[in-house]
Amino acid sequence: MTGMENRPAELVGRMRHDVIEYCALGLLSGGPWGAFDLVRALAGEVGVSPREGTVYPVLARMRQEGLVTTAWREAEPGRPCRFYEVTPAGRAVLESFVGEWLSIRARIDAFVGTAEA
Amino acid sequence: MNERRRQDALVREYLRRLGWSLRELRPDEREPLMAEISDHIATARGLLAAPTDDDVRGLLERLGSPEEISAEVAKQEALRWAGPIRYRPTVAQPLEVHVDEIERVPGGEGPHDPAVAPSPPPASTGPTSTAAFVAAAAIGDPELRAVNLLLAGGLLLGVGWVVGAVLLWRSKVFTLVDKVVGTLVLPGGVLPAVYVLFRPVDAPGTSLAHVVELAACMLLPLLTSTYLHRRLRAVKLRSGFESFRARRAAHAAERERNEMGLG
Repeated sequence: MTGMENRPAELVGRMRHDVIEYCALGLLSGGPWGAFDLVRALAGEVGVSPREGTVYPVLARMRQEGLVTTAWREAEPGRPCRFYEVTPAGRAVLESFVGEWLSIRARIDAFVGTAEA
Repeated sequence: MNERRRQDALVREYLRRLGWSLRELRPDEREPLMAEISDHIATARGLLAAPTDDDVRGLLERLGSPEEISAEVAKQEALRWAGPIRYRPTVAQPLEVHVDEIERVPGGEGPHDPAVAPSPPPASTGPTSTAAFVAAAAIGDPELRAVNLLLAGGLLLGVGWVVGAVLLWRSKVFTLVDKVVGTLVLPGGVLPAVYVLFRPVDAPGTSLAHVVELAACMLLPLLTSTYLHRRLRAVKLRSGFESFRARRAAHAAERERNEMGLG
């Protein structure tokens, strides 16, 4: 056993982690999200983060960098909830990422033979 | 009812460990994060009709261990300090720090609850290894106390400044240069400024010199204090990163051992 067989899993883990903030910006570009729902959407097996709790530090940094803002609203009557919203700076970052993503995806597809005919 | 209390205790213990693992963060960074995670737990529990102990344990497991969360905080801190990178637009965006998250949702377990205030974990649940643990433990309160006492401790009849100087020189975190700067610029902290402020000025033409002297006595201790705070923060950041790297190395080593059938 060389450990090489674990590489794909590690790579996927790293890639998923590195794109969390862009996935968050993508979700928020459709409108504000409550913190709980946003984290649940980003984490877990179908998300991009293996652990829900590790999404919060990412969101905190994005808030500090001015990519998102937060505000308290009532998710349900009597239950205040923090809502996240993308800022113009966040939209600009997302747009920039999307351009790069399309480009790199096309290049990788060409290299590994997954480009659509 | 007992079940509910047991589950409350599980959550409190988790938040206490989280508070401990995030103890190096400034309160204005730690408390909003603790509040968000506390709210997350409360919301997730609210979605369970009749949760069992295992349900609550599973919920906490989905969140990740306090150590995983603190490692992520260290990574994000490093990203923030690295400045705009990766897919940032070329036009500089104004950085905006939002300090609106100190409010708490009523009813949830949170960092303001004394029962979950950061406190040392039992010996078996602390950080696992490495010199990073030693560094993290060493840069706790004494260093902050030293810096604050060096600035303002002189007002306590001068005794506070002396205590601050002793703490500074006993510290294993500050370098010799830090200690010399902290001690000599200025001895007494802001006390000399108070003395200059209330000293009678009787000779004509000395008012400008008096103002300059007063400004120097005010500014120098403030600059020194800022410098020491920045040094402390840099060391904390580095220790957080070392801790993260050490955990990752330990994880890799463990996996390798398992693969070789030694685990």
